[in-house]
Amino acid sequence: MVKFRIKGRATPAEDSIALRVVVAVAVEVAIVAVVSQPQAVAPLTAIAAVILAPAGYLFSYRRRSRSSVPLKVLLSFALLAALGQFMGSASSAVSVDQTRLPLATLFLWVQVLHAFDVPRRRDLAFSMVSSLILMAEAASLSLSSSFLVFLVPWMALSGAWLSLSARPRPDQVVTPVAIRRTMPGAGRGLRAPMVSALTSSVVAVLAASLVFLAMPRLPGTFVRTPPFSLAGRAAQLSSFDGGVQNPGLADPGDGVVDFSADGYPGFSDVLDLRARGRLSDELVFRVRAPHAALWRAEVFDTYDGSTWTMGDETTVDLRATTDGVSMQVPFPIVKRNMAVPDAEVRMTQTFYLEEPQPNVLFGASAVTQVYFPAGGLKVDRAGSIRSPILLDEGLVYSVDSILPVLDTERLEAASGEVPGRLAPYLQLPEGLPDRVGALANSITTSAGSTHAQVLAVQSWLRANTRYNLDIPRDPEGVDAVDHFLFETREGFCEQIASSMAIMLRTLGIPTRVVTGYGPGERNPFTGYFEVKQSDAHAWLEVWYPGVGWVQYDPTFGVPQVASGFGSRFMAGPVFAAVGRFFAQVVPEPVKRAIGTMVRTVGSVGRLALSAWPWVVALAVLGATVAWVGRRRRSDRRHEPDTIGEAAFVELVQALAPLGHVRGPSETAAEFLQGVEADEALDDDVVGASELVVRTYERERFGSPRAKPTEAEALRARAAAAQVRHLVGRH
Amino acid sequence: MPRLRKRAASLLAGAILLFFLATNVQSGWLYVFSALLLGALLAGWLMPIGGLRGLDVTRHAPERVHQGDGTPVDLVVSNHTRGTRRGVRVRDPHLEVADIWLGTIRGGEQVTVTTLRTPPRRGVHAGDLAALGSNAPFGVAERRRTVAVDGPDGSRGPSTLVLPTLVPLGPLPFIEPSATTNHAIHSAPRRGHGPEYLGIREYRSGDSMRHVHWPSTARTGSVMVREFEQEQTRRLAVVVDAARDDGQAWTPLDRVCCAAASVCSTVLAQGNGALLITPGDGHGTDAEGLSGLDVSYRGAQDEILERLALLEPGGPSFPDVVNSLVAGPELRGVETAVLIFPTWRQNGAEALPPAVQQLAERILRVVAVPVVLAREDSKHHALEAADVAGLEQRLRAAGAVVYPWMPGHELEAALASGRVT
Repeated sequence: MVKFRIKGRATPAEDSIALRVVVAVAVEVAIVAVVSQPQAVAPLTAIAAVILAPAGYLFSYRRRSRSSVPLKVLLSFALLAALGQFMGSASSAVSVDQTRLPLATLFLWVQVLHAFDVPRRRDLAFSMVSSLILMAEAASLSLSSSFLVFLVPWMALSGAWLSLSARPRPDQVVTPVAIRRTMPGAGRGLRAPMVSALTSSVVAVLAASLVFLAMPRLPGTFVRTPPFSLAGRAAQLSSFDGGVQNPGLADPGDGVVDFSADGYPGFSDVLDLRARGRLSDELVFRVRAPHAALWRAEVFDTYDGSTWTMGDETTVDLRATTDGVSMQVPFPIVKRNMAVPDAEVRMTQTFYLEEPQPNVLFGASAVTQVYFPAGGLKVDRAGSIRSPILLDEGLVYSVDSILPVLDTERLEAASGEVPGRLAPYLQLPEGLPDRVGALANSITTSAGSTHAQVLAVQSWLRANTRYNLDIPRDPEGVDAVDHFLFETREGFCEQIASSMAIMLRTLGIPTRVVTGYGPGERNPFTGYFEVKQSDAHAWLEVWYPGVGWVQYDPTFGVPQVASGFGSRFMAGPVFAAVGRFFAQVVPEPVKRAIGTMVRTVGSVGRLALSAWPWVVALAVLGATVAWVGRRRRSDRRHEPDTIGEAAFVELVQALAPLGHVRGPSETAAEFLQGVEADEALDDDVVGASELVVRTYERERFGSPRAKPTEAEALRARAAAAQVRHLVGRH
Repeated sequence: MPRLRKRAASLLAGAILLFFLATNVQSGWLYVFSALLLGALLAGWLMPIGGLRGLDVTRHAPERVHQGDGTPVDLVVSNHTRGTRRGVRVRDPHLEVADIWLGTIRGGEQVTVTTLRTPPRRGVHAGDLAALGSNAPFGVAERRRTVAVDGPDGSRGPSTLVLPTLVPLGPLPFIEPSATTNHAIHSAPRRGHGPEYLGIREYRSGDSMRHVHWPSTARTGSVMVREFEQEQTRRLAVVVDAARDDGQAWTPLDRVCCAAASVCSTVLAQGNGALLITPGDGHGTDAEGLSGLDVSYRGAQDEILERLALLEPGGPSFPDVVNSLVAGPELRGVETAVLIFPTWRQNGAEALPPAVQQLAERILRVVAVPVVLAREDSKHHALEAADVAGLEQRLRAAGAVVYPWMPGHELEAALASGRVT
């Protein structure tokens, strides 16, 4: 009896060892990525997951063709237990961040348990999705570029999985009786597949890079409680009265606290302009923030000719808020230390400490709320927040800030008397030479407003002074600002900021000097701002009547609060990072050659721009010629695209010898009418012709629902062949 | 452009979800993951564009095969470029739709793949097209291209004629074997419609215009026709019902053709001649739309098989066919008429048995071979099981020997099970 093959409905077990190995290794990489994150999972869970997952995949491979119902029941109970454990941990979490860790444990157990029951290809695909979730979890916990160690192999394995699983399953294709490959010349080596795999990888990475550069960073966070935690036990200060304590400072050998590799002397009660030295490039902390900002720490208002101090060291306690997890800076202090904005940007920043820091909290001005793993925080009148514990490595805290967006016109219009309470910010040392004030006056002669005066002084400093860390200590008895402005004109950011502050004070404009950290460099992968010891910085704040305190940085500039559309993309930080990398590793001659090449390309580009009508015309002409040539080649070698079209073409060819030659503008229906009108033709020929033409018309012009099925198209093809056969018999 | 597959939607959904998460928790690495998924989507979409360039297909397939027989078909796919083509898949509809995975084809390589096809349909299978596909490297999108397939000699569009399934039957109970197998060939010739040419005579009313001999007509001035041998040994006629059909593979008409071909082949093998009567194909069709094919020589089996291979559904209903045979000249000299028909409702107890009874009164023996349809053959047009039993009973009552071919049964067993009532 004739037997026809009937395809089974159940999806068969996956037998490909290569596919299983790729998935198992990708999952293992993802598990290791998660357990490698600090404090992500308990050590015992980590060890169990690393060992059990591969064992599960081996077990599943051996049992792939057997019934797995009892196993599924068992795994379901285990999953419920893992879920119960997660619910227990999550219920005690006070922030979203604290739920990430139990979530990582839950994902790990889900992955491990799932590994024991992956008989089919679809199950392996779920494993890959699960490994992606694990990698995402690890990525969200990772703070540094070292995550690339896990990402690169996982990417390669995922590419291999995509490639292997794109192959049809054995039940989806016909098993050949024999397959022979003949290759002229060399035998089948591994070179061609490797080149193909490499090409695919490069194209995919390039495409991903372009997407990454074009991907906007939108301010869309819904996280209401940002993270804060201690790495270990808090290093409690023995006697905390709100003062600044910085254990990293060097010993004052000659009465001046110099810069040490890990200690910036500006984080103390005194900012000494005589201090010299260099800070290291050690990473101090990472900041997760949507915008760059100056991370403000302390404010100094009293200058004695060589040092800045705080005139009023009074501090007040921060108040606990109703949410029970954060503390609020008293509103009068916030209001007193920020400008009255035209618009404001609220920004949450999370600081991840990598090196011990003094007990001063950093944050973009003005900080309104603090999420900190210890109580008893204090704030001084200038908004500098002090902690009763030292900021140790591993500590995490977050702050909310209000960043004012100021309209230049309002600053330009700002005028009026300086209130008496701001007198400390106009203080000048008694021995300040007159030439400092004279210089300020000469610089601002043409300035018609306070704002114009501030900008004029800042511009003069930028144009006439130079940032230099290799300057000798000032001679004894000189005023640091005077010496900088009239003798050296080279110095640290402290000298530059102090000079601007003092010159403005001579003009009657209240100022104060601020210390903290610069924004640091944004890591294009993690998105975190990475701040180094050497980013320690000093700048100033200027008071405008009716506006309030506004930041100025004559050394490097203040990052804009209302960033433009371009700052939403990673292209800038990426190109900057690439540039820094090449600047470090590329030899000078190569850099010069690249520079020449870039200039040449730029010249050609400018030439093309100047003659753009000709360039456009040539491009259009070239494109037209190419299109016409392609069209002609395509027409010459036109072959039917579909089975129905092939049937119609064959019908037309078969009937041509009988005088039914299809005209150039004749439609298929008109051609059929001619055939039907020919009484000399057999009914079978006419009937088959009608079948072919109607199928062709449905295929070509029919709605998607009316399109013929493959079986119908093949039937039309057979009908056309039958017409050829019948006509040939005549 | 390559067609996107379901996997593309998954990658896009994953990328959007990761982007949302990245935006929400401000994690840069999640942006990286989102970009990676989109990058894989983009690369997987763009890379298959040139993935089939320079490939051509040649096929080696037999010219004639039987329906249902495993047939080896060689497909040769050549890569005429220097580049490697990856993830190549061929969908070849010739004889039976076959999806064949070829994988990687390096530059200049030629892959010959032999597959076993089981043609599900009779008729001419024109195989001048095949579809190439590639979803390499990531299975995100598939590039498809329909290519013309050459034959081994470079001819375009090699076709295969699928003949009906031929079942070897033992001695048929309704046929007495001839003395020798040469009897059919060497018996005394009589004028008639046999295949052997006897001479030329004047036209008579009823002669087919196909037999007009134009040179003699021109020479004599009157219409002359060719005269053929009347096959004296033709004692059996096989009449098939091709009025309708249903299904895609191993259809009722396929089974009818299988039974007809097997019976005719057996008759020929036993040294008898046979007359195959089918609905007309345009050659020798009479007024009732029937076509008779005399077979009585050794090579005739091919003609029968070809006729049955090309038989398409259509023509008069089977009771009308039988009625026209009763009235017509087709069954002159026929001792036994074998009626092979599916148990369509139009062949029910009310319609067919009266015609069969008239036929049984005219010739010596009427054999009915109802091809009993299963429920899956046709829900609306097939007789119910009870009606089939009634039909058999009425046919026997009409004087026919009934050999029902039940679904799932062997034809040989079915033809040995008949009985005269």
